[in-house]
Amino acid sequence: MTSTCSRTRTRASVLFWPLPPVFVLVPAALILVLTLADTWSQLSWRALDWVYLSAEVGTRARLPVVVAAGAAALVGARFTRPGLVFAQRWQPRVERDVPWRHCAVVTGWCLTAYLVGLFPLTLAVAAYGAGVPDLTAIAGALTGFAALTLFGYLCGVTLRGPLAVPVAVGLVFLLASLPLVSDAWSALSLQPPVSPSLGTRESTAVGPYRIGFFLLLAVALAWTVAALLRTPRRFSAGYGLAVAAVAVAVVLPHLRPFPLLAHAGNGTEVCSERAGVRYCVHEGHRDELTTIADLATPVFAAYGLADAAPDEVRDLSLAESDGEIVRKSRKGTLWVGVPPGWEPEQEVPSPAAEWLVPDVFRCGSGGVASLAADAPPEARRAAVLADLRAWLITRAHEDGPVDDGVFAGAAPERVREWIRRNPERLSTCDVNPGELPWRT
Amino acid sequence: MSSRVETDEPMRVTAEDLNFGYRRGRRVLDGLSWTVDPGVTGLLGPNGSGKTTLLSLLVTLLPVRGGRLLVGDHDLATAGGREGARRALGFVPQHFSLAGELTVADTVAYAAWAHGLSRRECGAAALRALELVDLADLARHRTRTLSGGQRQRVGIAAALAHDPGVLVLDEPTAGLDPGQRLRVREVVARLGRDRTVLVSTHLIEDVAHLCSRIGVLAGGRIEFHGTFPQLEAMIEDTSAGSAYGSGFERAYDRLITRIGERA
Repeated sequence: MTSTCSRTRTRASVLFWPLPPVFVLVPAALILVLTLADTWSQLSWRALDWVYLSAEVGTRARLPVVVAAGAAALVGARFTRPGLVFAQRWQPRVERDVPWRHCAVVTGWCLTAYLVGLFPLTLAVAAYGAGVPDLTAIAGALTGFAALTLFGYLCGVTLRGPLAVPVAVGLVFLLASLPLVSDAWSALSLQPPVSPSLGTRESTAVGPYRIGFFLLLAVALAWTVAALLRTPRRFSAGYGLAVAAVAVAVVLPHLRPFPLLAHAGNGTEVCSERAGVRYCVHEGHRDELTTIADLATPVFAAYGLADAAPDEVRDLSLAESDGEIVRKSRKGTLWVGVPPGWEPEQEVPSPAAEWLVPDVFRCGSGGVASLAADAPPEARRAAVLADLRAWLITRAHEDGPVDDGVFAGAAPERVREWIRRNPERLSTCDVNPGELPWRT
Repeated sequence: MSSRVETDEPMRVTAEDLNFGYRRGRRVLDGLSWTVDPGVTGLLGPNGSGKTTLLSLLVTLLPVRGGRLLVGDHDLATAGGREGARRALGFVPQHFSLAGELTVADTVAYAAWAHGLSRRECGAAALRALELVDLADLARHRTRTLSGGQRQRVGIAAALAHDPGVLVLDEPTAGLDPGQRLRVREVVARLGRDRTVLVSTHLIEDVAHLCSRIGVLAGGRIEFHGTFPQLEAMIEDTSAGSAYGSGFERAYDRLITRIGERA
């Protein structure tokens, strides 16, 4: 009976060996819950794509990796104290195999829990199937997750007391948050400050640099742990070299910051035409094409002047360069972003109206728009443009008059007729609220 | 566990002209030469005589700088020798701790793995070691529930699980009540039948019941090496009495001190 128990137990505990299961199951469960909670709202998002998900593997790891580092610190502090009967410095495996196994078990469980937590989002992305996964970004995130977990373990081995966990948690949270302070840290952390999506990608240098940095960091950390557990403690020249290499790798991006995002420039377009306007989206956004046209067409129609509408409404994911965006804008292309989680009801009518109506800054009021009786004339004229934009935006959803602003109560046909007669005055911001026909 | 005895020669521990001194300190070991044969050997000595230093050298915690120290054929002055000796040695320090959340079996299996056994071997090795120290029935208990004597036996089992040729025990019965002390002594005596066991202790009862040979360390050297009756005879010469008891303890202390002074 004893041997049967022993065999059963050995088989079951291989996944945790040599740690008590609670030391890995609790953080793994916490990571799973955190990841699910963090991504749950995204499951219903529109326009999800693999490029975005690839970047999210790093972005969403910011809290899970803190938990993993805390768990590793606890294991390091609890199970490498020299007083323990199985952590004696003369035991042959204490220097390398033991920390390696500890880290493998903690990282394996935490990383698996994290990836399982990302699974529903992955399924949601797969349902759209747009784009292709960015393996470099994913590899960088996973390498970073492992390296920062190892950093937590080092905190445990170094401090070996109750302080180890809060110190590891605080430091790793800081390291994972550095890109939010400065873009220069993006190549040295898990997440870019802005997640790329379909049509864009991380710049060529950032991804491989991040992988290289985290590999280097992991080597230096492993070396440090081994040196701390070695008897007698010894820090070799190779160790010094690894630490110096990490320091150089940290400094380099600050001396010469990497460009973070680049246009992928590999999209195939899918187009349709509605009321003389051509609508084109990235093939991965095929499902959004009709929606965009449905929401933009009434805005252009409400304005009434066919010449004022753009020749083409184009998905930003199709842009091959920043120069192309500027060039085509000048030649009659309205660019519309279709990022994951976008809300077309908000994000299509607005740029369409902005395309038609000049910016209020043209009125010379410093951007101030006001209908107050004592407001400067420039501000009152700016209010006409601002309210015209707002009125045009409502056309995407309504046919009738609006309730407030200078266009309150105006029949759409009447507004359209007025616009038809005053295009020049609108473009030069030369319309006073008082002269609008429905207000007199 | 017994297979090692059937196939291998028991290991000896040999020190030849062993010297050691800490930085800026006096020389702690000064030309120490000694051979520890299979069986249970006691290491005695007054406080500050270098017992702890000798044990630290033996378990490779301190580097051998002068002279030779061999565990079997493993020369502790070389990296390879130290590596081999670590696998051949089991050591129970005077003060050690257990992780309370682990079971007795897991603790011993973990120690066996840390000593170099493969993960597959560890479970069976732990059970064998626990049987040797009469703790097999507590294998599933958490270590936090154990008494002092049971903890000490877990420590011995942890040092035994990889089946070392040489077992080193530092004050194995210190702090135990008489019943527990007796139990630990029985275990150690049994272990000495098929391996080399070196026991550092200051308890004369341990020496009397356990050790077939005794070495007294004083002034950085082994000043006495012999059997307990020979040590007893020396004590009788000091007119302390023939049977050990409270008078014997005092005589023993005087003898150890005198050997120290002579050195």
